Amino acid sequence: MHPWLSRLRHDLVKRAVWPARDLRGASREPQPGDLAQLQRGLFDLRDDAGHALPASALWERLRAEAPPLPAAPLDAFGAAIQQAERAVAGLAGDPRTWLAAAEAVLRIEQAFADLARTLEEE
Amino acid sequence: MPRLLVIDDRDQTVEMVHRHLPQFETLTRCGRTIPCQVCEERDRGCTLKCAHDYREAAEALSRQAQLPDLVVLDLHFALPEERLLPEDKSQHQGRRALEELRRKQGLHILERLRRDYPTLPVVLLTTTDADFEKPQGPLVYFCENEVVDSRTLAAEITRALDLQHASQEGPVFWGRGAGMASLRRQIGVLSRSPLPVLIEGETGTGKSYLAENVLHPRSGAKGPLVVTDLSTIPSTLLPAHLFGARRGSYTGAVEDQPGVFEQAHGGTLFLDEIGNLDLDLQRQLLLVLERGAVTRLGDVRQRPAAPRLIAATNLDLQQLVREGRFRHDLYMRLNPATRLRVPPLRERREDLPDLVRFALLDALRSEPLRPLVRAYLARFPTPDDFREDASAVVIGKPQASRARRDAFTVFLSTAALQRLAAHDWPGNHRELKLFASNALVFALAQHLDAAAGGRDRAPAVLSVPDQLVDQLLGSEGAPRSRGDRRPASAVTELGRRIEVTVKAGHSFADISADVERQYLIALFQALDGDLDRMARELFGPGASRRKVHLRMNQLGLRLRELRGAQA
Repeated sequence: MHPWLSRLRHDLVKRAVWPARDLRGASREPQPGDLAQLQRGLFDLRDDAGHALPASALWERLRAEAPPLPAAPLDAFGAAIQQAERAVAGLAGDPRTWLAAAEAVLRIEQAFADLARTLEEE
Repeated sequence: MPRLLVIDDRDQTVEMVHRHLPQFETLTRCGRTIPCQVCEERDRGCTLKCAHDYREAAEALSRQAQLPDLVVLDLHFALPEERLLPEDKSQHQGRRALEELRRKQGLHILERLRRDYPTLPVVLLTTTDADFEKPQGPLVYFCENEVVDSRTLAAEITRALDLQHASQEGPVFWGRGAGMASLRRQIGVLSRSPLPVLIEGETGTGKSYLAENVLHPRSGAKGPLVVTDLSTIPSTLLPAHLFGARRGSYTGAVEDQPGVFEQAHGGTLFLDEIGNLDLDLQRQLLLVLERGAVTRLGDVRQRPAAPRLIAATNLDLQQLVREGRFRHDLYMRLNPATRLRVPPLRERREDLPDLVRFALLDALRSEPLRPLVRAYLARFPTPDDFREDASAVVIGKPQASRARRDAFTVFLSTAALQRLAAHDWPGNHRELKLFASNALVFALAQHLDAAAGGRDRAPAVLSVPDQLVDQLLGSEGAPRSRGDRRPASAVTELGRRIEVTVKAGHSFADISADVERQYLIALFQALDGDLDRMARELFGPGASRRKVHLRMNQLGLRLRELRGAQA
């Protein structure tokens, strides 16, 4: 795997997707702690220096260091992050939307797979 | 509950373990006894939940008297340069090299863990597309699924723990080698069958231990287990011992005496060192086995004697059959097609750290060492709640600062372990056991002597110094090729002369054993391996070859090897 992709997966995708998968796979109603994990997975990420930042800010940094790629899959990945952030931020007002929020976060994984495929083809 | 140490640059893995995997306990860096799940610091950004780099991991491990059951180690560590391994980054200059170092930091940490904590099992979280050569090692497990949910992580941890625990079952540490795994499978089948079992293995490999503690208990036999070591009974008494005797059948037979075959009827008869049986007794043994009945010496009545037979030998029975010294029909009766081979310790080097640990703990709890341990405990003020069962053996890195004072912590360095692993262990488990007892006796005595000079506080760690390990292993411990046992010796018509190299610091017992060993080898070569002549020369007319063989065994000399070296 390309080092940039590996870093993107480690620093962002894995952190965001893990709580969403657990949430979707749980056979019970989510508890406040579960939703907090989902929020942390998107809004409490860390850069190399250990500073906290949201997924969209981290993506902006990582995109600046991306290898040559068509803009479309990069834009699609950025859009998936923004949608996920909106959905998860909406949980504060209505926790019942947790499933939709989890699904939105999981779409980041699909966008990452598209990105990886494009990079491989390039 | 299995205890885990998570080493990851982010807290997410450990948080997920806390949240979704209550079946595991995690080791934290805060030193608190309460779990993170109920800690008030948890939501205040506590950074002590897991180790984020090797330094923090080593610090967390050094606080523990007992290592965790498993380390969960991530591969990718996004950390500032100064927190990455190795400390010397001259080979990793430039942004690209640094990024590569971050991506594979888990491998560097793994290497350091292997060096400092060689008995600690590790699960490395990696991916199927990871582009590196997997480090080999019996205690390293790879989670190749990309971990993006807690269920996958739990499955991988459980799998690694299961594999780890599979190496120990009941009283036997089966370890991780192919030889022991094959033996274990065979025993699993054979222990349920009524067929005879033949166990082959060098002296001290634990043949009788397996027969008594594994094969017999698993056989489901209602009768007793009767154990007989044929090499320790004088040849004149063997017939009566095996088949029984009627009162007055020979001088000294003052009452009717059942033989071991009769005693074991309905149970198991374990005949150790069956290769030492002479041809006439072999014939009688075969008859008993075929008839399932025995006639005592001096008697005419047949009595039932149909035990399940387990025979063991450290000789090559097939070779003895070829040489006409063991009956072919008896050999076939012993079911050689399914014979079990117990591997010697030199073929189990990957298990050695664990075997050394078990041997030291066994020795510490053994009766012969009790007086010394009591003296040690009496000399030093030990807490009322001293817990012998909590004693631990630490190999690799001393943990004196936080070692518990309510139990023994025995320490061996990595260098000492390497020395032990390089040793050939000709006496196998018997030699290892002796080594462990000696090591503890000397270590305890040294600490007691040091205390006589005024120290009144018990050392937290009972260290077995490297020098002591060297001394105890003696000249046999020096790595050398197998078969390289020819001493500098000469046998002339005028007498026998052997040259012995004596190393400084060896004990008198070591030197004596070495001289004896070398003399036996010289004699063996001079007399073309004729054990009968050796017996006459060493012990006088009429002496049995068995006596020579027994002594050679005790000294770790293997006939097969000596014959091979001669050829």
